[in-house]
Amino acid sequence: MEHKKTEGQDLISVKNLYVEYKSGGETIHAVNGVSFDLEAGKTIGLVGETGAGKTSIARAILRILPDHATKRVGGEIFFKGKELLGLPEQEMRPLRGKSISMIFQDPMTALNPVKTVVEQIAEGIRLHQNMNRKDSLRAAIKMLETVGISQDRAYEYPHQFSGGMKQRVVIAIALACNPELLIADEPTTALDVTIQAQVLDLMKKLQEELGTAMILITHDLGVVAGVCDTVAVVYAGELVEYGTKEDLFDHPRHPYTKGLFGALPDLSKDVNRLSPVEGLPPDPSSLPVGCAFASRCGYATDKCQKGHVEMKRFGDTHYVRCNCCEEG
Amino acid sequence: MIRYIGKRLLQMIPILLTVAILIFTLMYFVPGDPVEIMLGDTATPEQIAAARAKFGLDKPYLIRLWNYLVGIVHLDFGTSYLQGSSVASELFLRFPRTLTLASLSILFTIVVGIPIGIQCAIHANKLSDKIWMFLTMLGNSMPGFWLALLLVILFSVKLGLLPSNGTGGLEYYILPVVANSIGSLADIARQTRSSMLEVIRSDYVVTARAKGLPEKEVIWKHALPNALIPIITVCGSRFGFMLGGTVIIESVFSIPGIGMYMVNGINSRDYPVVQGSIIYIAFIFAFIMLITDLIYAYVDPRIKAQYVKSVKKA
Repeated sequence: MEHKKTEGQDLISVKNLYVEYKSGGETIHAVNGVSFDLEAGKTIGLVGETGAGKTSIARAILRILPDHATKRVGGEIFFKGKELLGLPEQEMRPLRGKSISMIFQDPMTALNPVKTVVEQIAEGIRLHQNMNRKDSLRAAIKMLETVGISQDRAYEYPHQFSGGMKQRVVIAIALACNPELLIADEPTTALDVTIQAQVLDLMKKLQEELGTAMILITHDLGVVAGVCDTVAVVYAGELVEYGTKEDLFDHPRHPYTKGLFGALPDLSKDVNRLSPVEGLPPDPSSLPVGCAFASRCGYATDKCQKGHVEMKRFGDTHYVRCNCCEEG
Repeated sequence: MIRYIGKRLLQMIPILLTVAILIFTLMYFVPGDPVEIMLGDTATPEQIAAARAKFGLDKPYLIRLWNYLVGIVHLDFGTSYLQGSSVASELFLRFPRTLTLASLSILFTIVVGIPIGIQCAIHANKLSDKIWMFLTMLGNSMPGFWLALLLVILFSVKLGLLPSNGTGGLEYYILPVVANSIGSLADIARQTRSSMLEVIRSDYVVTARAKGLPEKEVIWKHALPNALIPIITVCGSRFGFMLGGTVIIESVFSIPGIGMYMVNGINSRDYPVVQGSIIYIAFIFAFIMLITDLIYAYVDPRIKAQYVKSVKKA
């Protein structure tokens, strides 16, 4: 897909990213040529079903894909003009946790059970900001208070914390060194609805204060509407629709995106049943030649089955990967 | 925590009493008569009767048991029939040797075994891992005495570098320690590998990596502490066994430790020696298990929380 912008403007620019895993002799095509850009201070939402490859994209950016299972990572990721995938490990490490950090999906398992929460936050600060132990602990306690955990609980262990508090700690770890890019992998999925709103508000507030850009991975369109500037819909490791929040919410074009919105309850209309997207995503170890969504799509034609579908542009910012949508 | 330790120490008393009664009863039923073994075939019935009366073997079972238990309470484990020396003082005399051998062995086991296991886990299923796993299997299945003899042939007989037997300086312990620890070392390496493999792919290890920590710190500071519990369990029971005296190693290297003392006692039906040794082993095992449990609490705050809670309730 063509971009009008020059690379210099983007904080991060992912180009044609591929991630392949190996599993029992088979190759799992988790990410298949994903490209997107993000400017400093903005938020992009990666939306899609479980297993669509969202987390793989995130981990590829930080280069923390599981060694033993990863077969190939291809494409380019430019962060402030520097290509990350080819960077030697010693140069990648100072970026992790400092310039780019990540909030993990499951707060229950993301924290080390045998270390105090304050130590887990202070560790990164000590490493990246050259502080001594005492100062780093003080900074970590301040960070805990920022996410709403009082300092007298700082020296407790993760098992003494509730799920919502653990998620706050995970957020505090990610934000401890004021990263320029924050990757939030379903930060609210493991939380109940009341805490979800609190955590999102907190992240938004911190993002505004620190000017952090964010890649938000979620399957919750409500979260996307509240937080994101641009949205990319991921299906079977590909972006099927990509544009501003307004583009996608007001004029969804891809049948899958429409299906996702159709699966949302709408209180203003009188519908008895929600309309889910029927069927299952294709097996990532044997993807179809043509459109990956064809088997679930009501508009699919022979053309969709046969050849790979290219991204088409609609307007300035809206891209759709579908044969049925006419270029405008 | 202190109350927990006190409680555990008190719990040892009934355990040790049970062990004492059991071993006394077992020895009572074991065929073979110490007096006949001691005096030989030429002894007259009068001599045998006199010896029996001297050791109190002519009294009924219950009275002998009672006398023995009363003795134990006063830390008197009786006197050896053969040597006529006090069992307790003999155990005290031999204990430092066994303790030195066991401590050095477990130290060697830990210092060498855990890093091997970690390396294997990091490079799981690669060639180096497969080679090490083969070697540890070999180490596990190789009889200790055979390895001991091979070591003696190489280092003492051929190269003349190390003493082959006896006690003395630290150099006397090198070969016994290696021979004594190879099995445990292989065990620990395998245990470390498997429990590291379990934690090395967990989310918090990825979190640690995402913080930008060097891989070494990720492994040693984040993964290892979480993998330690089963490793400590194996170390504890291995150490317990070693402290109980390793008969074979002590025999090969002629180290007059507790293992040899007990086996000699068994062969000559020297009841007080056998009973005293067994009670010592039971005590040392229970004690090591207590230490192991305390180390658990030190390593894992969740376990510590349980101890503190259980004490509060009690």
